[in-house]
Amino acid sequence: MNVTENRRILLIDDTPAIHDDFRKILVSHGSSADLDEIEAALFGAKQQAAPVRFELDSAYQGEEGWNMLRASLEAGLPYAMAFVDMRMPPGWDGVETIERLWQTDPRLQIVICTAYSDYSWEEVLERLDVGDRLLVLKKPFDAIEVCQLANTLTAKWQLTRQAELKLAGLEEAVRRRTVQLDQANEALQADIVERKRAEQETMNAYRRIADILEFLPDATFVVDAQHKVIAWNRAIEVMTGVKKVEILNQGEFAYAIPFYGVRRKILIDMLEEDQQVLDSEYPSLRREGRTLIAEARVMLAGELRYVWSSATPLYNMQGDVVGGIQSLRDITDLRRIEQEKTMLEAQLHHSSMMESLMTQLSHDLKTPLTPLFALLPMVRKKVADPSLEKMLDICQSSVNQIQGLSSKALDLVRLSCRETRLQPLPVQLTSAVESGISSCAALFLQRGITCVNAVDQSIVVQAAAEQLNLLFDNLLSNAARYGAANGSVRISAELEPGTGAVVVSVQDDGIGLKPGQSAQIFEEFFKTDVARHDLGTQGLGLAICKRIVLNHKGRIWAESAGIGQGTTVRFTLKISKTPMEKHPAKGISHEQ
Amino acid sequence: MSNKIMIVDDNEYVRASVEIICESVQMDLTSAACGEECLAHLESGFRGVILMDIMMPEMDGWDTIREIVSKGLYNGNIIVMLTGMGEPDAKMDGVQEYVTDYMTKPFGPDQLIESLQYYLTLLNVTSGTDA
Repeated sequence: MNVTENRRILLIDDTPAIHDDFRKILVSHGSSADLDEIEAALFGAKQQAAPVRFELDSAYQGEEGWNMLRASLEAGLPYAMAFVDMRMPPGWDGVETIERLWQTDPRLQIVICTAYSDYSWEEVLERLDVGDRLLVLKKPFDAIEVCQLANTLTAKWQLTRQAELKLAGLEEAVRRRTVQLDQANEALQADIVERKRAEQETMNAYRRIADILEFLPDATFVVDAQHKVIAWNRAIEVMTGVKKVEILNQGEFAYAIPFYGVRRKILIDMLEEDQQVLDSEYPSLRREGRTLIAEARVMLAGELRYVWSSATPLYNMQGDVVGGIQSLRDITDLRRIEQEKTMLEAQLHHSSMMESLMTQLSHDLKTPLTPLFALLPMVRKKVADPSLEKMLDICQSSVNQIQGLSSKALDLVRLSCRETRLQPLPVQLTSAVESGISSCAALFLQRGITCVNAVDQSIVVQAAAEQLNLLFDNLLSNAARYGAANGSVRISAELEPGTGAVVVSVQDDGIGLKPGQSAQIFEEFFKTDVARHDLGTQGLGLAICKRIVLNHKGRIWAESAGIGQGTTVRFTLKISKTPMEKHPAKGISHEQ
Repeated sequence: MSNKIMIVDDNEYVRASVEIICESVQMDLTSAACGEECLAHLESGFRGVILMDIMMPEMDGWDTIREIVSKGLYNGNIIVMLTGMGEPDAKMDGVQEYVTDYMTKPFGPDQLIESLQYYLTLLNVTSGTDA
């Protein structure tokens, strides 16, 4: 039903004449002359708008009217208003009827038609919840009053209805909107929960990374895009002595101060430099992908250190540079070791070269030496002239010197080279001593020196016999040379407690050593005679002894109370754990 | 045949020295400057004490001994190697048994004479003839 068109009026009155009157007023078809006349009389000659037409339904009793109302509602054709008489015997009175009417259709606008004396307004109000739905029409009433009421109340009904519908529409819209908002809200809540969770995870991840960075073994620091320090891990605190509280958030090259003492660009700043600039000004920088690598000498805690460093830019998800990270390693020890190794290798190479040279030389010397050695004595024998004899003696001495040098040099080289092939066997110590004494016998005799072998027969050492002999040869010839004339040389041996070794001592009472010489004398070519005039010795004897003792994993050293107070040379050898083997006497050797 | 000494050495002064020394005691000396000459002498009938230098160009002492043995010329000889000490000894495998002794260079005249006399007695003993 179109709300603008509800002109249905219900009249409930027990007086039929009223119905007729109302019909005439409200529903006039046909000629409207009378009404026009009345209207013209009332409102002047102005042409009114087309007279309003209503639909009027009649009921003569309250209940009848009520039934008609219900029927109208069921038919979907509600009345906009009703005129209700106050008294309608025998049935319901006006008030009761209105009560019922409103119970059924609270929207119904009602005019109660009443004679003055029926009810007081207060009584009506008591009985009915009037609101603004009830108007009073007093009898007798005018047609105009009726028209006005009809117009107004139907209009009011319509407006109210419209408002209701509008409200309903609004409410529906609001309800729908509310549902939408609720859904949106739920979604938002879920989103927030999700975001919080993601944030938490990110925080955790950051914390883990921060921990990792903090405990990374390599000294590391991180800067942001403005090159302010945003991370300074434990290792770099230790390296530089600068704690993170002192340097975090510092910019302007603060990170250079622990290394260089001043604010300046360091590797992490080179990340932004043009490659050309890097190539020309810092040629030692190496680039691997986005990482720069360099080594530098820096001062750390007042010491010069070598530091290896690498720096990499940091990127965000969009690929922008948001900072940089640099790691450092102190390679000073490594460097030092490398340098030492290089030096040692050079020394080794040099030594090898020297050895081959010496071997070659010694060997080549043998060839010219052989005729000299062989023939000089022959010439000497044939000569009677004392002056010639003297000359030849000098020559012979010189030749002997050359031979001595050459032979000892070769010995030394041989002993050094063949170290790895040492195969020690049990050797009776005292017999090696004896062999040494006998080979130096002539010299001892010449100088009147007594030689005492105090080494116990039971001492057996683990040694290479040939080298042991050579050892005593050299030691005893030294003792013979430097021992006091007509003095004595004593060889003894004592077990060293707890080490499984024996300490052998060769003691003379000769020229002794100056303080500080005791180590020097074992050096190659050392001679106590600084001008090196003494041709009888080559200065290699003790170097050979040292080499032999070292080959046997022992120690050798010299002691002297001072010049003129004799020298004792001591060395250690390992005691043999197996029974001894008699050392063969030295004679013409039948085997190499 | 039993007083004979041979010196095999590529150095002429060494050969000359040995020659002079041997002459002084009336010992008979044959000289060879290389392994080939030594073999030639042996093939011509030389038997005696051979002083053999180890280090020689082309055919060294060890090679020469191998040749001597393979040609069946060893019997009746004593071989003494002359060494300066420190020669590489890798090549001596297989022929050590044919070497009676080693003498180190340089040697004095007396030492040489003494040794030669000793070797000659050895030779005469093994060959069963008297000097």
